[in-house]
Amino acid sequence: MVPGRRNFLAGSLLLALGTRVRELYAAVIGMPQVSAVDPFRAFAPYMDTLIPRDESPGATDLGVDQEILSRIRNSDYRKGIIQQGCRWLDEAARKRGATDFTALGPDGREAVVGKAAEAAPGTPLHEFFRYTRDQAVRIYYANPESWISLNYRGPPQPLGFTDYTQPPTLKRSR
Amino acid sequence: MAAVDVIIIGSGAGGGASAWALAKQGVRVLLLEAGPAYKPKRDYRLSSYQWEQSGFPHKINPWGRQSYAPLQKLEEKWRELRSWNRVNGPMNTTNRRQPWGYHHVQGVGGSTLHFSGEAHRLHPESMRMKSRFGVAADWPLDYAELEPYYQQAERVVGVAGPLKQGARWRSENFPLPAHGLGYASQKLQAGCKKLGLHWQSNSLAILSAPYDDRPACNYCSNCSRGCPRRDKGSVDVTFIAQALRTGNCTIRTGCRVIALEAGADDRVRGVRCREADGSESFETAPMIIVACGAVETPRLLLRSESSHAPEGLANESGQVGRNFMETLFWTSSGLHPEALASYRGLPADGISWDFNAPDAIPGIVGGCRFSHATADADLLGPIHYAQRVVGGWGPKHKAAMRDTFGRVIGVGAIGESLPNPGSYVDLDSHAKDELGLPKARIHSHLGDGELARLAFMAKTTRRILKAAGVDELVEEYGSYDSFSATHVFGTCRMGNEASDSVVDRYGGSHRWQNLFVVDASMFPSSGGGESPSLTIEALAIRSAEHIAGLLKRRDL
Repeated sequence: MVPGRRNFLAGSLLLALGTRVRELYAAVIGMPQVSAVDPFRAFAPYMDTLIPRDESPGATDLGVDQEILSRIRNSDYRKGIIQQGCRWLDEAARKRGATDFTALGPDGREAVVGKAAEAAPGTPLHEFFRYTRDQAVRIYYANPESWISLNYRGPPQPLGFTDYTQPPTLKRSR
Repeated sequence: MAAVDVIIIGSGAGGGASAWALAKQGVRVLLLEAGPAYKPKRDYRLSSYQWEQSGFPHKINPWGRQSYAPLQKLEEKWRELRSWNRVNGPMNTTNRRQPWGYHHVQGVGGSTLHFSGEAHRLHPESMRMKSRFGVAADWPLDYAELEPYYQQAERVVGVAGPLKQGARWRSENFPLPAHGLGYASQKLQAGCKKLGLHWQSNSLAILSAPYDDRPACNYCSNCSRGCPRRDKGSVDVTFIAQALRTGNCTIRTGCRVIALEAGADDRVRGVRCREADGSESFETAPMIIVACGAVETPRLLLRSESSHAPEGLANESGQVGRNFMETLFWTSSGLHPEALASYRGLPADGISWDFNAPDAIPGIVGGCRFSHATADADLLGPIHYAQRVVGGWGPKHKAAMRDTFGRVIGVGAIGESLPNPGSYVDLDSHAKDELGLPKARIHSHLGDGELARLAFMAKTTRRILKAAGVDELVEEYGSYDSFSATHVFGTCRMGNEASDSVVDRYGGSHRWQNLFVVDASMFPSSGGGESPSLTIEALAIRSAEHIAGLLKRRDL
């Protein structure tokens, strides 16, 4: 079959995410810096709310937060998006009576992140959630420690999957 | 440089097979390739934990190398053919078809470097579309004449296939036995059986046993990312490797052909090139073969216009670039209740040819085929599941990933594409490449006939998935709202009449005595969804035999 359709899917995701990056850039870069506190303080607990530890590692267990911050260090736009997102998380936490996002318990953090997930497309908050979730899953699920609970015996090489005609050895049925 | 008998431009299926067939007969070949060579073990990083982060590791970016004329508006009556994904919603949110690209690889081996390894012969009746069905054009040869060359190509590549493939009769068995059906594909087979459809092992240019000093496949399912083991029969590790071993073939990579220069005597004088170091060269040989594919071959011929060829080289009929046929495709993917580990095996391991004949779909001329498409949809790893199948975040996301991973099955269909006046390739004088040369501009239009076939393809893939036990679709996409093609054909079609074809039955220009075209642009019809690489290779071997005969007789 035609492998190019993978590229079709990649292209369609880019289109579906909208083309307002330049507008967001202007909105984010123009924001004044207002605090001397670590502007990314909320990021690690936010990551662990997106991908929590349960029977498999959480996001920060696999260094996902640090990897994302490393990747954006040369992008004023991306840094601005994440800083603005972190400020929003802290503000939302204060509305719930906490001093900041890190002071919230798990239920409170989930409630706050749930609001971020519902942000209107085209807003900086929507871009914050979309970008960080996308990066988080890309980094998290490229780590073999996340594969164990999925019964995934990758990477594809060097062993391949020579048992491909058989039912998988560990199966989970509905 | 040593004397050369034949210059071949392009090292994909047509160029590579031509090089082998000529070199083994003692013909001295210079193979010019614009892209680089790939080293399988080094370049295809499927052993890396980062394997899923990217697709095929293109060394030359394929995006934006062609331009597109505005595509057609989308209509409400074809709403069922819109592409969508359950996590991200509609894939095309506009009211117009979008160009997602002509997907190809620039490099030694061409697009076989990223192909899924399907090795198909054309249905014999697909070569008689005009005389039998009044559409497209007839091939100036028939299946029986091409059959021995199919055999040769299959032996070079090491094709593994089943004993029988319906109308595609064979004088010998496949060189290698068919691969077994993967566990997920077995579910599709069972579903097809309920519907009265036949699902069988596909014929694949992927080794089922060690062959030609290459190992058997180990079923990683990632052919499209390049095969580090060389068990996939891409042209670089088969035809070109064997051509080089003869000592009669030289490849020059990073060499971009600017133009072919025509002389006053109905002969092409030579090939003007830009080399990898930026210098220009002019290469001459008694014979020249153009094998750049159905988009880049007409592009080269059209921009090789001169006072001797004012409409472009070999374009006396006005057909260069015309009759463009594309990949008409549809893919549906959904969740099976059982944990299948569907990321294992082979792309397109199973196939149904039941609707492949030109008159197999009731009321519609032009057939199609259905095959296992989980790998083609690239739903093989956890990142893509998290992006496209399992949305959300938090504990529910993680639980859903554990529940879902490995349960997606996809079925895809590819169908006949018929030529029409709205589909062609020309030069875009406003869009130039980095050498200042006009890009190829693709014009694509799908008529109601194509869309009716596409609707049948969509309906049938859904029926197959449902019968196989899939209870929830997660993604569907197809040609209706996007142009996304790898198989492209027809833009320098073969024919017996110089008035309505570009090349003769051997791919030779009707006018230019030493110019041949050997790639899918020669195809007068696309077939009912067959993957074209094996047919291109068979045509190339046949043309090479003819060219070698001309050279021997000095009939130039």
